[in-house]
Amino acid sequence: MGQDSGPGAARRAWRVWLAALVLVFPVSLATAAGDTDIRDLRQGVLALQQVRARIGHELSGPQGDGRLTTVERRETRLFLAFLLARVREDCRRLLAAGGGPAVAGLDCPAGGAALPGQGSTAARTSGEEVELLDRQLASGLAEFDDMLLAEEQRLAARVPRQGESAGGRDGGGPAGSGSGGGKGEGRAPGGGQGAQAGGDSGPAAGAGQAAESGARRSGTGAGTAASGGRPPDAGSMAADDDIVARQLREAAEKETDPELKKRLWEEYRKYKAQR
Amino acid sequence: MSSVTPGAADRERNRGGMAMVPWPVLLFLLLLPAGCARVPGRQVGDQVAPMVAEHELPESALLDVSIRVFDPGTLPDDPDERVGLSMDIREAEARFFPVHLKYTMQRTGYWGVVRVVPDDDPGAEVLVRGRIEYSDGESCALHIEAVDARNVVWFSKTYAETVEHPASERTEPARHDLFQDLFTTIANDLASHRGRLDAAEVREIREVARLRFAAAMAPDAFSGYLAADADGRIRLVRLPARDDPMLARVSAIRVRDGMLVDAINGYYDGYYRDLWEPYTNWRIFRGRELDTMRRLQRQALTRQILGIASIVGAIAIGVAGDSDTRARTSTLRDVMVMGGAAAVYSGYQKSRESEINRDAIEELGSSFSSEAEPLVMEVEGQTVRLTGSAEQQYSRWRQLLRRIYARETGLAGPAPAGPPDQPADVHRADSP
Repeated sequence: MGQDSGPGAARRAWRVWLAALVLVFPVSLATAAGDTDIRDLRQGVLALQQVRARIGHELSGPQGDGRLTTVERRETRLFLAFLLARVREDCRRLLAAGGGPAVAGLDCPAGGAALPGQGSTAARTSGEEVELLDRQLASGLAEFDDMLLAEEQRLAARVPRQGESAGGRDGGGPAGSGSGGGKGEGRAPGGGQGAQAGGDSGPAAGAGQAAESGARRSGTGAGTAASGGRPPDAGSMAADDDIVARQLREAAEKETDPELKKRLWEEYRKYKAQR
Repeated sequence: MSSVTPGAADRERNRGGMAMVPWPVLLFLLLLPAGCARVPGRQVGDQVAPMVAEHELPESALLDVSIRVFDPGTLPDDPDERVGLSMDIREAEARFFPVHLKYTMQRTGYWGVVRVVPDDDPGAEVLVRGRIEYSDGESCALHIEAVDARNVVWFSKTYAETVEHPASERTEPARHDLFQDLFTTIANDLASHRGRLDAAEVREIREVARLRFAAAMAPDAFSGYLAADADGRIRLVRLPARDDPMLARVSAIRVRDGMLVDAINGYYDGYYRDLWEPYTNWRIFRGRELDTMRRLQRQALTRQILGIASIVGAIAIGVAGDSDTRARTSTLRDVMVMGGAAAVYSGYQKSRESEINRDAIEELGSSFSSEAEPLVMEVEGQTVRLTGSAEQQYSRWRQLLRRIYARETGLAGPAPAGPPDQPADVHRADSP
């Protein structure tokens, strides 16, 4: 077969280019859409982690112990656990959408990094085996977190036999217990255990790190108060708020960082829609 | 509030006045305290002021405290002292007292997290153990031992307090118990000992606690960091690297362990709230009944002594006097004998009356026991459920950590999971 040249070759080249364009363009579009989703999810995870760290920091601060009643403390910890569950879910989605690079740099909680099929018994290097064992540990920690979350909900729902008269804010009721009143495992500023009541970042991140970084970040948006993202019907929606919805709404109302505020209102809307 | 037994000075005064006090009155004075409880241990002061940190302590200076559920001790051998008491009540108090001590300590500002734990906590920075030496609602004696993570015993002593009129005492849940002076004194002693530690010691306690927990979870990796002296004192041999991945894994588990204890404390707090009212009422009503019973017993005793004295006096006059005296005092002696007999009978009646109060005290005890028992069972059930499921998880984590350590270092092979490793994993300094 001789080499093509002239107008025929040019036409063929044009057709090939066109075909390639037709084939590649939707993929590019899909990739672009995927990138947007991933970016969005990553921002969501970061925002929720900031809120979690900030609330944890407030809870674990020296003032937190005496300021909050037992019920408030319990509700706050329930909210922290909810935030953890949301972060974990988003991390799973990120991992599914973009693989390891999608969660790079995020303090994804234990249990969020496991991908199906990764536990194959094929020959593995020592490093891979450690990674696998780490995942198993993280998964166990995640299960434990779920168990603790269920326990918190059970405690929150518990009706005192003698009524709450024995406690109460002004009556000096039981100050409640909890690691939220004390120090963090990592002894890092803002890294109280309360900050991790919803679980920390697992072995990879180390206890206390998420809270610390979150607490540092949390100050950056201060002073730029905005009301962006607030649903127009937030007032009427608030009527049947449960504990988590109320905490989300209050966090959104108090938030001064406009981006974070928007994210919190989105979370509030999503949560209410699910309910 | 005061001591129930007369002090040495009182007894000395009584002996010094013996010549001037008529013997029936002396006998009465000697018998007077017979109905009161004898409480072991040093009586705490009255209106003890709590030690509160003058300024907020930095986070690095705070130590976490674990208060173990108290040992309920045993009931008094004397049936009179045991009236209306039961082991059910002791079991209830063994969980109530540590929670109240926790609240008392939390308000001082000297501590990090204060928690009640169902058992010895290998990761505790300061562990407080207690035993109820005596408790009957109006008197309480607690033996308290405080030990830090290094196995250094801060103190081990018995505190006692008696409340004379429980009904007139101010009470407020979590803030002011009937025996608040006792709890405040314990909290003050703990704060005093904490105050004597320098910054290096505090750091050491925290590091040792962290590594003891780590050694309990991953003995292969961490037991070499600590060593125990012949006397049991645990010392740091070296510190792990800050970015040690095994330490990060164990730290993640320790956070969960803290959260688990928090959940358990949620149940202890609920238990405390539920028990507060019936327990306070039981102590108040029991105190009232005891007051009445003792008053009646004193009256009965006084009348019986005076009656016997009158009869004995009449006989003595008859025996000692001549026939003329006997004739002249015949009417008087008759009156003394009859009056004496009436007084003895009246005393007997009073004594019977006090039996009613005794029955009431028994009834109060039974009633409170039946109220407290299900609460104790509930909190114990929740604790066992939580610690049981946690222990299964911990066991799995120990195996995983062991395998990870083996893969990372090649120093140890996987082994079957053993029981939870206690501080015994710490190497003894004198061992090879």
